[in-house]
Amino acid sequence: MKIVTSVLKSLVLVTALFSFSLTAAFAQSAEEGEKLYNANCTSCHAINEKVVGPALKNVHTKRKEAWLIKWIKNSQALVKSGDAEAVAVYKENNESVMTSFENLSDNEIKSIIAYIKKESEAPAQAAVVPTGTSSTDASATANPTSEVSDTLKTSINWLIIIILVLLVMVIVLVLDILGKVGEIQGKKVINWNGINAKLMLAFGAIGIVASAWEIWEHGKLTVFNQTPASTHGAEYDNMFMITLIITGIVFFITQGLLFWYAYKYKHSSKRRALFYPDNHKIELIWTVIPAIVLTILVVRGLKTWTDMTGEKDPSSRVIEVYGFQFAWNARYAGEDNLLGKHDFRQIGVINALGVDTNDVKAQDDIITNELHLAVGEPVMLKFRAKDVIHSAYLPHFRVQMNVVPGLPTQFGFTPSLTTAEMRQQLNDPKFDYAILCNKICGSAHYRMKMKVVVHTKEEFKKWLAQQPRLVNKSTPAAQATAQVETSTETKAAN
Amino acid sequence: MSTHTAHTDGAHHDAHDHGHHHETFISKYVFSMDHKMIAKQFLITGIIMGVIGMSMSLIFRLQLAYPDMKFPFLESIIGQWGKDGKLDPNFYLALITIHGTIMVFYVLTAGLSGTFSNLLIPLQVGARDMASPFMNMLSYWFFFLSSVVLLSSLFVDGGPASAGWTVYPPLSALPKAIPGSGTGMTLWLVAIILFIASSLLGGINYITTVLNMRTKGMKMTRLPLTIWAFLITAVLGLLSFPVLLGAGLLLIFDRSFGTSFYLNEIVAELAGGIERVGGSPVLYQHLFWFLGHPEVYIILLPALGITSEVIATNSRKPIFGYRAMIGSILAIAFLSFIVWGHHMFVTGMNPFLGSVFMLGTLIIAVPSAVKTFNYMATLWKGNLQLTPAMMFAIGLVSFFISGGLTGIYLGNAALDINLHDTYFVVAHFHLVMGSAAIFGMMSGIYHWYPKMFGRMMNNTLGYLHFWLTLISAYCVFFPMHFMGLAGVPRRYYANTAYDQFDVFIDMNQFVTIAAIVGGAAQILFLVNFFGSIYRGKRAPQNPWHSNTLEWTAPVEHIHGNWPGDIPYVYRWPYDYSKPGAELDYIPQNVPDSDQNDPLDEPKAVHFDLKNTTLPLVETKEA
Amino acid sequence: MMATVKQQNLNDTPPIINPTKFVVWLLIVASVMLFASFTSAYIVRRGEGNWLLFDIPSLFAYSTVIVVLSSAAIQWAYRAAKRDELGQVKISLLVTLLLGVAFCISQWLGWKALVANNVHFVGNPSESFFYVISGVHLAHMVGGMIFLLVVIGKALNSNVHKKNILSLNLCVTYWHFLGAAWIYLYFFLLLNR
Repeated sequence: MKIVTSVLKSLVLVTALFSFSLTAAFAQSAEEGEKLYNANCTSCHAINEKVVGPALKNVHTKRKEAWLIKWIKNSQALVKSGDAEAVAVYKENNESVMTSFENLSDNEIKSIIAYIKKESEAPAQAAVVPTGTSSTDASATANPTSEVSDTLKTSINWLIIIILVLLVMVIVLVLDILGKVGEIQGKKVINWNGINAKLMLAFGAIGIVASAWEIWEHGKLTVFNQTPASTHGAEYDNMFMITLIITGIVFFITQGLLFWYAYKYKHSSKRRALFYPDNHKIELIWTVIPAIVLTILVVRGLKTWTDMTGEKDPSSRVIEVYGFQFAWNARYAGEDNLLGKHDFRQIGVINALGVDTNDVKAQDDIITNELHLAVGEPVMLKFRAKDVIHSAYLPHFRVQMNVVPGLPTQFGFTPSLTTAEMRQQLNDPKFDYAILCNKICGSAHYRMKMKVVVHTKEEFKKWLAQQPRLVNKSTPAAQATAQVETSTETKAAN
Repeated sequence: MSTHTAHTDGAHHDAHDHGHHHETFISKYVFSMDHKMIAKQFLITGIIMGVIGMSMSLIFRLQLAYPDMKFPFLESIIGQWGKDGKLDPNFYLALITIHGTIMVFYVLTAGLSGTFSNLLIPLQVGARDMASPFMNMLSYWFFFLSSVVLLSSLFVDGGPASAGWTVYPPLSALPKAIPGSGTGMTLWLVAIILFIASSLLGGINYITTVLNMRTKGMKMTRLPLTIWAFLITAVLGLLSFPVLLGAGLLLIFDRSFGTSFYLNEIVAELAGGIERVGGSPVLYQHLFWFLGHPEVYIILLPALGITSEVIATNSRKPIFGYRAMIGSILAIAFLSFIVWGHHMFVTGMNPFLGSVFMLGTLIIAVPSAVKTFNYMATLWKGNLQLTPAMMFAIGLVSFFISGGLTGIYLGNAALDINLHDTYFVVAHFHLVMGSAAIFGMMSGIYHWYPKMFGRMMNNTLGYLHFWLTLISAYCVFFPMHFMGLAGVPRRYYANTAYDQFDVFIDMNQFVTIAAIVGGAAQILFLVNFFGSIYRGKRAPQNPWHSNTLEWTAPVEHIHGNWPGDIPYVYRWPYDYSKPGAELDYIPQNVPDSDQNDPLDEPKAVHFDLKNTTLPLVETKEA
Repeated sequence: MMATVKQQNLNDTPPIINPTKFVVWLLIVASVMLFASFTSAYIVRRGEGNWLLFDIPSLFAYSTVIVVLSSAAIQWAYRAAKRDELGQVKISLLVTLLLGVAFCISQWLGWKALVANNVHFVGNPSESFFYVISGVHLAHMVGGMIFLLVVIGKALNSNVHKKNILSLNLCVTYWHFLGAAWIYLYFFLLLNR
């Protein structure tokens, strides 16, 4: 009996997976299109400018809708079929292949086109505010003025460069003439040895002051000037600071001495250098001291490393993070608290993540394109990639792990600051955590990121409950029944 | 390059020259088997590649500083890749890949070590030529061919390889993954295989010559530190390049024949119609970095060797701690083979393995520190001739300190988690291996230019070149550390996608301007280098009053290096300002009064620091 | 094989070991590193699981015997050359060449047997590795045979004898290396399945 139900269930799952393309049938509105656009298109496209792919403004007037649908679903098939328009577009964009979106239904694509239409027709100023995401907001408000100042700035920059080059040429000419005059008179007009020695001193002094200033000033821009957003971050930052102090001291002393010596011992024909080929005692000292300092760093470092990579809380919430060219997805376990299996052979047409449709546990899984976490709750991120190596980098959490196709990796940590708290701390209401791709993966590598939101525990629960389950993604009603079903199922199993 | 028209035929037509058959233009300048000519060939090819590599960096620096601007001139340079003056993101990746490949292999391996090993090994150990001049010639021509293949990949469909200079699979193994992974990647692999052949032929020759063909009295403990560095470099290359060859072959099989050495769980659609299961992408990284890390020292050691020589000569002081210097070269070389894993801390490696790699990596800091301190002790109480070569050598030490110290962050597995693949890494290796090695190369060029071309370079231009390059290099790479610490990943086409990075717009523009200034400064060098071939002052035989054997050879190049007997060697190369000597240098071929056999040691000098007052002997320096 | 600098002056210090000999040894070192990279990649990859087991055809065992015999044959040639027995040199070198050809054929048949066993180059890495390792060795073998042909050419002109033994000496060194490499690789592949 049980077998029958589970077979039935997987059948349901399969049909559901195949049908979730149909579920958006009613969502033709530009609003729905906006969501789909932001989830699927922004990694390579923008409305008004060429990014990786061409600008999409007025694309609905340039091409027929039916053609667009075919192109978006599988552009390569269209190119291979010999469609002249498709081949032209392909060539025009240096033969970079557009990702196929066969999981999008015709209606979904239509709604995306509707959104693009709306954006294209919007007046120029508003068109820059396409998505309502924080980054574009910021640029939009600053846009009219900054555009002017940008061009101004660059022309000034160019001017500076030209002036510098001219200056160098003049200096060379003058020096050359002076040198020639000196040669004729038979004595040196310019004592280069002295000048260079003084310049060495000046460079050393200015360099030291400048680097100190920079460490102070630009240090403020780094993530180490912010409270780390994870619990292990404190230990990490501590290790960093110890290294910074030790290397900083060595840096200033050695650089100072180097340039000081270059000045102090400049050539003089009135003396000889000291013949001083070795001194075993001194050499021993400056072998042993670095060794001791390094031992301290190694011991501390090993402790930090094992703390960060060692055993993790077994009760951690497991979240799968899936990377592909050029976006991320996250998969949460549903009520059963278990992630369904995955099978790369099922990656493709509809099942972008290759979730194993034969696995009952996958049924209540939740797939999102934002990573939501709960503060204080340990998570274990399990990484998987579809095509090439990516790297999941969360600088604010001091977390990074490569995401390798066919080689599962993981990283466990506990977020310690919610997004709201971090915003307050940085005094930046638009701040968002992000997971960035940090391993070269193709043209839109630089846009491959996913928003990370850290909630309080209650908010997180609420958010998770609102997310559609894999099987019945569509209607909240069906979702509710699914939840009931699963809970009864679990009870029955018990 | 026809500088030496006034050639051997006159003054040095000695008895040994009777086998000296008539040389045609081809046999003299093109398929030359003379190590000095091959050195010049390596150098000039290296400089041309360097100019190309640097120009590429300027193009992508423009993109990084002004991601929203259009540069119409781009379209005229790079055509379809710069349509409307916007750099194509795919081509951006191609540029960084080829920039990295050119700089690492073609400029700093072949251009640096190829040039100076070829020039100096026979001259400084006292040999007539390399052990096998024919293999030496082959080495250059493989290198040349390899350069041509690499550059030709710029013009193929889909563009050149774009997977980063490390070409990690699957990105490099799946021709469909990015446009550059098609023909471009194939050509890249062919170029690298040719390069490996060149490097092995060269390296084998260097080792054989140093170990077997030293003149009488040239004990291993009397070798100049340059030769020690070249020898160890060649050994590193001999042991690590075959491994890269192995890695490359397996990658070719994966790309072209459908095997799965580096591919796992890739659907057929992405992988040329054959489903790939069972390989390991990380395996490639292990093999690559087994070469890749020694490669860093293949680049750096020759530069350090040149620095040792230049600093000692121009300080008019023996290099401090000669044996410690050799010891640290050996230690660095040995350690470089067991630390490759520090490039892979975030691949999900076993934490214990990570600890081992971290330990090995940080230990390298000890011999490196010893080298630095020894350089500074050599400067201490010296009598520094601030020639352009000397200043570049001092610049190298400065970069070696700055870049070396950030290595302590990156070698620490824990800290690497947040710094891996960020601009911090870019800053680190551009200082310690990029700038430092380039400065070593420049130092070598300024120092041995009289030996190579028989003329002097213009000093004024040299000083300007040095100061502009030093300042701009620091202005380019120092700020990058802070971008890295803020989490800005490397290899990003633009930092516009995450608004937290907006604060670095100004810094990016500053860096780009500094890079352009630095690039412009190299024009001074090029003018000086090529101009001095024709117009430089004629060089005296020993312009820097140096001790090493190459300065005992005549200024005009002759086949076989010395017209008469090869000089014997009676002492180590660092007898500068030796108490009791008349001049402040004693060349290696000068015996002490009581020294009959070259193998005897010259009289030891006892020196007591407390009683040493610097003798006010007027030296014969200009 | 390669032009060396003529000793231009009688007073020049003679090299410590013959440079050409040294060069051959270094080339062998490079080859050793190449095979080391393959075998260590093999071990690393095998440690990760998903490793298909298959039987190595007995033909490869025959190859191993052939390689040992050919090493013996070339050693015979070397000893004969040292004693200036030129006829024996020619015969033994030709025997070596024949054995070399036999080795190549045996390897080829071995691959065919593998294919018949459904072990293909494109398949599980354990299979691909077998082909790559034996294939790269075979490529070295072909190089060795070209070298051998050059020496045979000299020998047929009676140009290999006690006083002109360098080229044969180098060939012997390389040939023994090829044999030793194959024996190592064979047992490596046999024991590390």
